[in-house]
Amino acid sequence: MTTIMIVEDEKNIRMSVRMLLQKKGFSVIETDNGVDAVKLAQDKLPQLILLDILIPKMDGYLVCEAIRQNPLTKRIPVVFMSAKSQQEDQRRARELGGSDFITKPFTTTDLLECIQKNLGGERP
Amino acid sequence: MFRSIRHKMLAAFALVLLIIALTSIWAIVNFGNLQGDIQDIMQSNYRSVVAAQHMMVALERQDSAQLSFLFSSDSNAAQNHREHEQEFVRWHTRARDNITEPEEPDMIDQIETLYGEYIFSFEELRQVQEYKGSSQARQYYYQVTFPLFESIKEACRGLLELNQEKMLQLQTQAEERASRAIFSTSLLSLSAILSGLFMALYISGQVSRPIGDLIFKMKRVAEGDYQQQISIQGDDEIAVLATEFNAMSEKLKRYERMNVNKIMMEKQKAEAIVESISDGVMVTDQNHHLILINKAAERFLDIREKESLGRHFLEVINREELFRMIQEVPLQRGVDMSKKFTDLTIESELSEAPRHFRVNMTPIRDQQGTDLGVVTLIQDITRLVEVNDLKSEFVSTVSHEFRTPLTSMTMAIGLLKDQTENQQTPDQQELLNALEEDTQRLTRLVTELLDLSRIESGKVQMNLEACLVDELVTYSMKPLLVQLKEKRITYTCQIADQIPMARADKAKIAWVLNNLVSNAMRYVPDDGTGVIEIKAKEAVNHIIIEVADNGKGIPEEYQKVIFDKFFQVHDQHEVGGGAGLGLAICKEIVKAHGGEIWVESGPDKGSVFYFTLRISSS
Repeated sequence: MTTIMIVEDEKNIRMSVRMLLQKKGFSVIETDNGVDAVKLAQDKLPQLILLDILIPKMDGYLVCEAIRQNPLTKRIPVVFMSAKSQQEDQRRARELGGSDFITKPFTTTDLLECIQKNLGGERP
Repeated sequence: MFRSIRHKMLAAFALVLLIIALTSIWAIVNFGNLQGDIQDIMQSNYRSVVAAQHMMVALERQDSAQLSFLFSSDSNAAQNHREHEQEFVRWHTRARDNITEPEEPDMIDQIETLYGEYIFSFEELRQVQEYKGSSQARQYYYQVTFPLFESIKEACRGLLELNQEKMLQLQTQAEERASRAIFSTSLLSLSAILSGLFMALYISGQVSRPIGDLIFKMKRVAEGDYQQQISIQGDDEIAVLATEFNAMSEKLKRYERMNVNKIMMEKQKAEAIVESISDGVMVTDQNHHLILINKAAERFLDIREKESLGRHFLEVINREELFRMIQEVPLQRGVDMSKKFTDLTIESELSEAPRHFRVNMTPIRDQQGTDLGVVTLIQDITRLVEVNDLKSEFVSTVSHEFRTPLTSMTMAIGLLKDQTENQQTPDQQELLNALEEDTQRLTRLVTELLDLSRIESGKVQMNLEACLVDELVTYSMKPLLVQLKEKRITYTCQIADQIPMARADKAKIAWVLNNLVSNAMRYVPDDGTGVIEIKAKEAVNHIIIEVADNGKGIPEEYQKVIFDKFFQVHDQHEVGGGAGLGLAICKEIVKAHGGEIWVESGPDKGSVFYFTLRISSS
């Protein structure tokens, strides 16, 4: 079963995404802050990480960096989710090792498409 | 003294002439005297000498005659004697006529007396000869005649010698006179020459000095020094000239002062105006040296006018980018520099926050078009920037705050719809749809607000590059092709041949086209008759792109305001989803590309939206 990790501090968003993913047959792990996200990623090694940028303790960018630097987790595709939609934000995300970027608010369809696109697209 | 130069000169010349005349007169007098002397010598005295000589000769002859009478019984002797007597008398008369010396009359009288006796003695001699014989006659001769003869001769000789002496005396006198005359005349001539010379120098000096002074001072006045005054001496023409010159000089001085005052006043007025301008004003000359800084500029750039004037720009203001602009400005001929500006941020110690300025430069050119310098205008836009920053922050925060709940709402609605797909009542279905619509609307509004805000503040960078027009259109339309097919709208694209490349930000223009076509799609019928056309062609110095539809058109009163924020044409049949910002954003994007956007439309005539793009120069 494919595991997806959600890193998001808004509980409602977390809840609806979890619901959607579980309905679609994914196993979901979640956390609401950056520090835990790094630890959790290393512990559980999910197949995909959905990462919000504005999260407490450590922001999404730093989390991504940490994940990439950790040999255990560096292959995991990371999809940034953010209200920030500017080109610089997207570019920065990509530079830090993000595989994709989805802008809030997104529809269920958008999200699923994005996940499908990035699953299996493991980074070398 | 003398009223005019003419008189002065005439007087001087007259004096010289007088001296010459005197010298001449003196010479003439001397010549006259000499002539007199010579005359005396030549005439009277000489004549007396000659007379005396002749008298003596005549007498000698007479004596000879007497002797021959006595000793040779010459019969002609008496006649001879008589002839010579006549001659003697003749010469004696001459001598008497030529009396020049005071002793002469007595001498001549004596001669006459003696001669008379002599003549008588001859008669006596003849008597004696005749009556007493030769020896008695001879004796008579020796006793009477011969002494008489000797006396007369003596007397004549005396006369002769007297006159000769006189002649000698006169000659010496003449010589003396001559040498005296030479000396005195030389002296007089010399003094005449010297005085003439002196006169010449003096008079020429008198005339030329003031003239020279005048010339010198006039030169100075011509050069602009109006302080010159000439000292006036006398009252001749030159004095008059000098007086007039002084008057003129004075007038010029006053006139200049008046003008200078006027100019000073104008200058002060202009300076006061510049000083009071609340924007910073700076002027540099052709060599980029600062020639003017007003108070505001001093404050903004933290420099002092006193220390900065005359120095090179970079010495005073260490801003490379500004200096580069100043250097470029004169080269931009024909470009309206008032539209170009550069933004400058200065961190100064005086305020905590950095201050922001908008700097604008314009060249200063004279009528012939030569560059005289550059005027730099510095506007303090710190407040504006602050407000803009606040706005951006606000919008950013707001949009983020909105987007977060919108995300969960969107997700939740999607999930609900999914979960209850076949189990909803018509009412529930309708409600869910409504929820979905409105969340979409809110989402769109938030996005568009954010975009618009960013574009308006100039925060969005337009990445302008050369784009192929057909590529641009294709790229923009790709996401819409499916929808177009679904709505059975006929879509055509006509791009002119040989159309040049456009200078555009591909993504942004794609957004514009997308928006325009999306709008069109909402207005055309979806029964298969709908037509949307995209055309592109080249105009004078830009490219025109148009999006035409055969929808219901836009009433004329709305055509101007349609590009305003939040404006929407109200229509019950309209499918919702718009927030009224789309066209406003299109306008901002097109403006940022240096183009224009407008619409041509009429009710039930369809609409054509036009916008222009610059031609790429590369």
